[in-house]
Amino acid sequence: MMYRFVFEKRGTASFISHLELGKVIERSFRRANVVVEYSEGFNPHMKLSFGPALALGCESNGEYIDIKLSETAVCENLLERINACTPPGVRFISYLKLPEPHKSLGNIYNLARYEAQLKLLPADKAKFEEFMQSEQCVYEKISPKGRKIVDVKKLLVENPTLVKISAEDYQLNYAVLLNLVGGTIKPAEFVTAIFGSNIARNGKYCRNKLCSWN
Amino acid sequence: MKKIEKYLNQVTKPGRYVGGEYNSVIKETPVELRFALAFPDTYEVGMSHLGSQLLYSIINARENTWCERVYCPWIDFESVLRENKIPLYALESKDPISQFDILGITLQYELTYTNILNMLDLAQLPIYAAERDESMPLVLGGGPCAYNPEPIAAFFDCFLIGEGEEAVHDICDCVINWNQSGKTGGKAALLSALSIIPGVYVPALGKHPVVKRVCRNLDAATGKIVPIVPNIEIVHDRAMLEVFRGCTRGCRFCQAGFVYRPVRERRLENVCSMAKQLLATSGYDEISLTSLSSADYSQIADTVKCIQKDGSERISVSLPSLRMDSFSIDLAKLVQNVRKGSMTFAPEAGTQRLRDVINKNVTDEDIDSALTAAFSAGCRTVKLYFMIGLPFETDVDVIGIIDTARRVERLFRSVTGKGGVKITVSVANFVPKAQTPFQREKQNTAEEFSRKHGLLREAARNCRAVSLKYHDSATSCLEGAFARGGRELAPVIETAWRNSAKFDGWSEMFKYSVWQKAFADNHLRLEEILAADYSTVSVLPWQHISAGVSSGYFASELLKASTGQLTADCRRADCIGCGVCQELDVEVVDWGMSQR
Repeated sequence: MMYRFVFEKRGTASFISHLELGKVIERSFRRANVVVEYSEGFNPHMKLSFGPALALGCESNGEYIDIKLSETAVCENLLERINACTPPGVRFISYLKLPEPHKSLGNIYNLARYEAQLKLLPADKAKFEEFMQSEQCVYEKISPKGRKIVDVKKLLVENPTLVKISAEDYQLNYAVLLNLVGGTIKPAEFVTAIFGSNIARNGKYCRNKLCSWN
Repeated sequence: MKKIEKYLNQVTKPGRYVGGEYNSVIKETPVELRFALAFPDTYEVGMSHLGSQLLYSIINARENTWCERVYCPWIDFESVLRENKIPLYALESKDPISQFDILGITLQYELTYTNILNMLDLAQLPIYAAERDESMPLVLGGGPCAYNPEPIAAFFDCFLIGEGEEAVHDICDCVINWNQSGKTGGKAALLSALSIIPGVYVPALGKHPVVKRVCRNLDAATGKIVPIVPNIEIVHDRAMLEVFRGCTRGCRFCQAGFVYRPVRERRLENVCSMAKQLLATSGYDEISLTSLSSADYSQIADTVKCIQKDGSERISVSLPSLRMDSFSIDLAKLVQNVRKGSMTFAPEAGTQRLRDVINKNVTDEDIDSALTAAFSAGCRTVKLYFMIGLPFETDVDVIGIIDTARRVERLFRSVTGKGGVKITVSVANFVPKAQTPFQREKQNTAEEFSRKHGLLREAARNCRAVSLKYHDSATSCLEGAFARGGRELAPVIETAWRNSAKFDGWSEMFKYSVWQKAFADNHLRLEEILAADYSTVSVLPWQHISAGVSSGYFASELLKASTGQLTADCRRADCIGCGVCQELDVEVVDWGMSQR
């Protein structure tokens, strides 16, 4: 039976990449002795599927994963058992049994809400105003796969907000679409597009929530 | 953590620098001794090292001691540390290394020496032992390279020669006693107290004779091992269990074969319960039964069966370093039933004559029967390890390497009736090591290695099944210089490091010109060091360090090598007189003895 789990990823765990997270969770479930079903075939592996990838170094208040548990695995203190066996920073918060058939995580969640903790000077604040006024904001994504131009403004469904926390500390709240052609943008890239890479490099990022957007 | 956090988005693989792995140990209550265990290479390499995992468990099992880890930062993170004046720290507490009582550095490979200096410097400690006072950590070295510690002796306060499981307690206790005495007598008093511990070498006290430490009973020495499970991918990402230590097959080139004597097997019951516990506490789905020659374990078949029964069919077992002669069809089938992988064998030399010279005890028939077994069990990819530059080698032996690979290809055709086998031929450059019968033999020059690489390439032309890989000649030469060099090399290592040599074992980082200049600046020539004739040297640089094997035995083995005479394995037969058991008061432990 397929279960949908919600888990958070904080502190040192934010440095576990999306690719490596599968292994980390598989090992946690094995240590917890929570039996997961395996695929058939030549090279059997645990049946897990993840939601939209989270950028390396970004924390999250709630990530989703679908896991096919064996019938005997579900018990009253399931979350406690799993959380006793996860590495620091990975904590399972809740779970739900899925009806069959169900939509896959990638098809449900297409909007991600982020919070970025930034240190800003008055001049940087002006850059934010500039961004808000502009029609478009072109950003060149550079990855090992090559370069890609995206209009950051097109990824937004609502206006970002910039909240002052203390003298130089600000929190940027924003939401970006995940499944547009040309791909989405990582939090550090988003902040770079507005404030430049020096601000982005020293930022602290957290994915607050994954949502559905029509 | 607060201090480094904001820089982590700037570096590749930040997971290397943050700790937070499952089973890593945080001690909240104060301890009497803080031990930083260092591996002078990247996190991914160091975390794959069983010896470090063992020591970490053993030291942390002591209530009064906290052991933490530190690895060599990659160049991007090194820049971050240097630019922001952040001292090198331990992964668990994030406390600076300079605050620790002991910095234990494992010496696995000669080409990590510049990384050691870099780590000391990043820790804001003087690189030379003589410049470090009693407020700084005691810098302790150990591992295979400690069998000739002289090139790096000036950087270390002491070395442990031999096995650490029991000796590490003696060293910790000694430092605790000295700490509690208010460090009476200063560092000099500590060093002289340490030098009394069997197996401990203190270079500052001169070249005093030291005999290696050895554990009589492996089961008793280790206790419970709780493996740290990495969050990021590492080189050997699986549980590791040493089923026995030592190997007395007696390959004459092999340092491990001489320095880890005698063979001591774990009991089957202990291996099975350890495997069960390792898998349960780690969550790994793969376990590697590591040893110098795993298939020689008298209880190997029962071990594999036992692990697979306990862990359901989901657990895969890997057996590294299988020998070609002890390999059975049953074993191949047993370990391949979950995931079909590639199999690795090490014929080491391309002709029977040269295999006899090195006492490999592998015949062409052995190769055929082992590979027939592997191929009929479904294996389609084999890796074959060879060496060039061995003593008494001729070009016929070099070309014989490719002949052997071609024979394996034909064998695959005749066993399976089709083509499509992949054969990787991996050729290493032989580097004579201390504490072996070949310790006085000449090493090939870089030109000689390159010429032989050419012979191999030529011979392997038009052979589609074979992919040929060989090591860089220059790095082998450097390795050779350090493997048998003396104290005169310390300034060379320092000069090279000051001219930015680091991660010399990484081909993309190795700068040969920096090394050539470092030798020249110190009025030495690498070519001359390598051409040195050790056969007539009366006192070898490592003469005072003993692995328990007598020098007379090394001489007689060399003589037998020159005429291709074999020496039998003493594991399940008569004593061959190497001297280890008598010298160290230990015994061979082999649970298959009674059945024979």
